[in-house]
Amino acid sequence: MSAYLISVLTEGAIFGIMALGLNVIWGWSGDFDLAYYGYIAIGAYMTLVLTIGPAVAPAHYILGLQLPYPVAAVIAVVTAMAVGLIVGLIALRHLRGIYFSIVTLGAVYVMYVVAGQYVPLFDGYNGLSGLFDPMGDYFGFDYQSYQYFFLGLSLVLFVLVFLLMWRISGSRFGMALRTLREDERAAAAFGRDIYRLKLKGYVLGAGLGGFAGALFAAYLSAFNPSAWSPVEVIVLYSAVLVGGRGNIWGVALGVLIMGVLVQESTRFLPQLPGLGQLNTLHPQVLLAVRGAVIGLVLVLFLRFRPQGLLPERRYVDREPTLEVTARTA
Amino acid sequence: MHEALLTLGFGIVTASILALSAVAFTLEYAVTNVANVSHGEILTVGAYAAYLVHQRTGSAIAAAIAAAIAGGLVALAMHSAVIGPFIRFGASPTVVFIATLGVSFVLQNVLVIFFGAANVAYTLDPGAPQHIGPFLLTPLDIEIVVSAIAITAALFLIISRTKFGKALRAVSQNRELARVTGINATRVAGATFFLAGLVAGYAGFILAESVGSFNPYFGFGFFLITLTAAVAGGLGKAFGTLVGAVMVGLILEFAGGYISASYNLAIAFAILAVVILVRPRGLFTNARRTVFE
Amino acid sequence: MNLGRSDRRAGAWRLVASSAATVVLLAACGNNTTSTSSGKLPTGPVTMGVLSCFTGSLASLGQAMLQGSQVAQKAINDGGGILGQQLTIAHADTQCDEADSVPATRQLLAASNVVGIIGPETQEINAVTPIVTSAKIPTQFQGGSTLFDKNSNQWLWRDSPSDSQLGVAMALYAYKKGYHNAALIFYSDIAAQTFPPPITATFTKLGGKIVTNITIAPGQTSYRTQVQQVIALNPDVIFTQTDAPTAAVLFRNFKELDNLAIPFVGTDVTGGDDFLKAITYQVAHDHLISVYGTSVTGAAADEFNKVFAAVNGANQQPLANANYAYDAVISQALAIDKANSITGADINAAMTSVTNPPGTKCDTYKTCLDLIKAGTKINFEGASGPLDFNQYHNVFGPYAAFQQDPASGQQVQLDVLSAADLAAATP
Repeated sequence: MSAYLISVLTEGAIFGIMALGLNVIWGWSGDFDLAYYGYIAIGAYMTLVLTIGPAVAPAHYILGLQLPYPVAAVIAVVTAMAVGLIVGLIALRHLRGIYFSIVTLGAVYVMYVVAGQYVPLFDGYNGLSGLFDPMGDYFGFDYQSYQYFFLGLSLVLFVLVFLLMWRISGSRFGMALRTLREDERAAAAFGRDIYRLKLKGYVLGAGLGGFAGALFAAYLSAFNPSAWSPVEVIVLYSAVLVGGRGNIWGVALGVLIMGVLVQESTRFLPQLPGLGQLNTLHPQVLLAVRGAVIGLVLVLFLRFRPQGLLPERRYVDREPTLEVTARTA
Repeated sequence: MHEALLTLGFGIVTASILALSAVAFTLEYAVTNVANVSHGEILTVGAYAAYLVHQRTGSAIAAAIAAAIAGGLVALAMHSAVIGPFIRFGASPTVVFIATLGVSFVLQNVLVIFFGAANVAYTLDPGAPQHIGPFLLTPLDIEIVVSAIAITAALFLIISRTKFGKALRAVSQNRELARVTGINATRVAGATFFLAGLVAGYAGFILAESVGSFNPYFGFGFFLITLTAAVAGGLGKAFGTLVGAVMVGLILEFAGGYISASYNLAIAFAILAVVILVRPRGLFTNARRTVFE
Repeated sequence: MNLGRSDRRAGAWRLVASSAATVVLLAACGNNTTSTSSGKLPTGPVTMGVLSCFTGSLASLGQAMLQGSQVAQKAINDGGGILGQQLTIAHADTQCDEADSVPATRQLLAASNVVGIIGPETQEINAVTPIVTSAKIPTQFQGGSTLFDKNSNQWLWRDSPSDSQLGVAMALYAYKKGYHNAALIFYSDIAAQTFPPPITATFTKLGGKIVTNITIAPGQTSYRTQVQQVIALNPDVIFTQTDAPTAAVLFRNFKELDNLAIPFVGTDVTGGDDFLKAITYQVAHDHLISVYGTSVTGAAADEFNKVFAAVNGANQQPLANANYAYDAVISQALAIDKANSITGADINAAMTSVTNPPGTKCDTYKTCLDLIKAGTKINFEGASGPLDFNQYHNVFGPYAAFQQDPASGQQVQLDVLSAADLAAATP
């Protein structure tokens, strides 16, 4: 298996975890959260500052510890959940629909600008680097086998997250989140504490984002503002939408299509005969075509197949209905 | 004090461009109940149209007209191809919001395909700066401010005095009720988009002129500020939005000067978040009023 | 879901077990693929990879690198190839983004007989370094990051001068012009933020004074307030680097507020066509001096121009910085010839023995190769400078101040700042 394929698959698995986290917030709970990529970034940044050791001038960043990678990843997830909790506490209290989206957009821009501009935090635009092959020494892997190990690790973790989501999907909690998406008032009428429930879902999603971010940091070994921008969340949304919002199998399929195939295809298009010249003449064109395709797919699916390729299974009450005697006048 | 007054002067220029963009955006919202994320691209298209026409004809007036018409047509297309069908299809405002985000992506990238991602320099001679009262403004700045005021005044006359304005207000207040009374809501909404597009296209032209260069992502950046202004003033409320735009324009200019320009967007959004939480309907409105406040 | 709770769990465990098995299997495969032997000779064409952004707003960087590498490819293949084999140039797109640079690097390394990588830039170097280090591939970093000045990674080389030297050169030029009070205006990008410290240190050491250091966010619609602050402090000169759109706004605001009374001294970026077009050639001519590494006049530069014309036609101009990529490919190829091996460690060990003195100076691939074959110790002189690596794998080169000529659309060289002048001014 070529090293390139390994890195694409590894990225795909990490991307899958990101999309599953987003699915909790948007697929089940029904909130169009634009801050999601911020939690991924927090997970990545925190993992790095907890593992790469103290800052050497001219670099500046907080903490600078040398914790074992798994410990760092756990703290990173907790940090992402804590930030998610703060944003959720504010944004979910009264806001729904586009107002929620706008406030989360604001939140992510604040995170992005602070991470990029406030140097003492994560070294501003330079970003952080130096997390080489975490746990590789411990298991004694050399470079080549480490790639396979990390791919395996990412896939296993993806599968574990997938299984966890599978459990949650059918659980009372998962059902309850969906009721909120479908009809918040009805859920409230049945005595659900909407705010708490939504908040739980939101923090769970943020935690998964942070977890994917921790893996992403290990995969990249570095993280700086060039590695993320708030609009990258659109690709994740298109993956969840195309696959099937709310259905974890659909989300996995969507990641495969939008996250892996569409993303990576532009890397190879210039190598097809005749297209190389095009790329040399207008280097931005291919990326633009990809962006336009992602936007178009988003619009077309929303309009013509909002349930996605693998629709979420509707839970139908199959019990015989009770006889309701019509009231006679 | 002197510097504060200069900053105030610059803030007025920013605010007047922002006001045109934000009022157009709020009108789009008023008739559809949808926040059109692709609004920024109307400005971008206006800027490109102005640039192309200016190159051909050498006339700034022709460029301004071209920008407005191109903006109007793009906005009309947005409504008839995407927003209108989604609304008739019964999509929720959030779904249409996401769809317009997709449209914005498509338009930006189509512009990159045709014009490239590189910046287009569009410089008119701004003229020598002059002291006007306590302010330091160029003739171009003055033209921008005066035209923004004139256009806003005309818009308010249209909304308050014409039959179309009456229909617009009716649709924005209660779409179903308006339809029951024989108003073709789709047509009114389409016409409103065209009108808003004219204004936004022109705003794209003066923004490009004032900035001196633009690229396909130019409108999207400005949309984020537009959104702040419109939400702060009250989505769908034209007068509130106008006040919101002036406030946001001034705050940004002062924040850039006295805190750091690097944090501008973050500051704008922080204001926005606070406004939404404290006064979700905008600073100057209450729920019962109409689009014309 | 009709599955009972226990069934579902059993299914779950099966999945976990099978994926755990996959890990072990995959790791086992991995062990077999490692093979590095000493003194390896190529059996087919050898490949060098250009790793840069080819899409997005910084795509011009990748185009320049690819162009320079292709010119070198022609020179090498016409001059007898590398160890008798043809050189092919592959390229992969990082999109100037760390996240995309990892698969791009791996994509390049997957090609057969990869003997070197040209690139990437400052934006992605941190994510690329561990990969090329582990793969033991000599890599010709093409960014100016000052963090690289004391580089200790043996696999990384930089044949273009550091931004810290450029900062020194800018400060020295301005001071020599008689400017003693300076303002700094840089935008908040990783690549631009490396300049203020060396400029400040040098300018202060020379006896000048920095009156203000302003960082601006790119993409704003007005910088009037910041511009007004700078004007109020009355500096003699402004040091600057921003991206082209920001520059357009910035220069326009200066035009409005003080009619561009204060001259600008900019970096290499300000000498790029994008930047010059954004502020217009005329304004650039009247108000801006760009300082950057000068192409030495000499046989190596002539050779570069000659081969460039043969590849791209006589009426084309090389892109800015293409000569660095050209030098990187040629020096790497010579190191392979010298090492008589395509193993990374051998190439790395041979590098300074073909680029640094002592030795017979040579300027073209063909002549250098003939000397190596004759057993002569060579000192390759590059098209971008003498190309002598120090212990940190960095080079020093002459700088010059350039001014735009609006009529021809070309940059005209004004003053040269020699490597010795720069060394004296360096704090």
